[in-house]
Amino acid sequence: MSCEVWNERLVARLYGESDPRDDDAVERHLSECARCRDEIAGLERARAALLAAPPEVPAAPRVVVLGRRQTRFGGWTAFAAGLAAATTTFAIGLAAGQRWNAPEPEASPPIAQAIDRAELDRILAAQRSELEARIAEVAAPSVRDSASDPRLASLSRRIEDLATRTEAQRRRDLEFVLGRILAGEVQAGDLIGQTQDAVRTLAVSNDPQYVAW
Amino acid sequence: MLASTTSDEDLVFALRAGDHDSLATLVTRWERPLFGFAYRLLAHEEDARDVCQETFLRVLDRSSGFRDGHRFSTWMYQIALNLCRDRKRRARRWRLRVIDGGLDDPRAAEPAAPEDASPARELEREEIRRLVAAALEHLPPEQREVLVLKEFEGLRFRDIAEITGAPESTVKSRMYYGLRALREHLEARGTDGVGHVV
Repeated sequence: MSCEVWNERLVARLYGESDPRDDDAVERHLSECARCRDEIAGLERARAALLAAPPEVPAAPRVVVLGRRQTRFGGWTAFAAGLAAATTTFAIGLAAGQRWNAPEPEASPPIAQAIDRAELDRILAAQRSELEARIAEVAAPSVRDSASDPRLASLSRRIEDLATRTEAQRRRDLEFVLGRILAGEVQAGDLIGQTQDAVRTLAVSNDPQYVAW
Repeated sequence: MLASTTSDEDLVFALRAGDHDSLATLVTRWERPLFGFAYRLLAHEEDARDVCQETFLRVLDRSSGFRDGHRFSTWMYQIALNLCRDRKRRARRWRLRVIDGGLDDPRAAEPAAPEDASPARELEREEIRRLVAAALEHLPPEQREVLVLKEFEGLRFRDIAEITGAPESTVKSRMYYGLRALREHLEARGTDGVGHVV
């Protein structure tokens, strides 16, 4: 018989919950089986470790029951609640009917008459104008006078400075290029002149009417 | 209002009849051990607090379903255990409010003063406590549940079987393997858990 089948009984014995009918069999087995004796000793050590150094548990929070929940109604309680609701409904209906048939009370002056219509129109017009001005201001920031906005003035100055420097550089570049072109033309002119002279010389030297020096 | 010596079961019956003060009495009795139970399973204070609160909520909601002849503690632990299992899967919202911490539980026994209270011994004990906690963390959930219910809640195997929904033989088997795993974990780190070098 494998010792594995004794595991549960060893645990029950360890905790004093063994079946009395098994006690003799368990004790007899332990007297004969060194493995199970070692096993139960190991279980006892593990249990001792748990008891000697149990994991710490933080302080438990205080739980407070807030308010009362509606209890379920049944039986006489339900009847009483229903009767009370019906009575209340009847009373409300009776009162409403009485009031419906009661003579009209003296009308109180309407609240609207306390407001000056002209004043109200003036206020609305002023708010509308302010709103439109604000919309115009937000929708068209470019039309604003930069002088009134230091940020724009600074930006304008920076743009102008950049434009000035760019223009100056453009001119310098143009001058350089133009100079190179002119120089090239001068050289070309010189070459053309030299070529013309050479051609003339050849033409003269080949003419039999001219005697070579 | 029922006396503070009223049994848990009678308090539940009173609660079922509409006496909500009975719930307050049950809460006072069980909030500390319930929190300890949830904390030892979840190892997370806030989760344990939530489980604690939700358990009492469910006690309130399901008091009509509490069966005569049933033990309240078993029923309560069953609810809490299921919540602990669920807690790992999803978050919940709670309606009870926690107002402060720290409880003086007259039922809780004062921890026995160690025979050797020297700093060295205290340090050693703290190390073993850490090892034991780590060993518990490494146990499979079903073994840890049984160990906690048995060693720290002091329940009988048949009650644990009812709470966990497993046969009593299975509960004992889980206890066996849990204790053995705990022992092996400690021995692998050179101690038997009670101060002896292995």
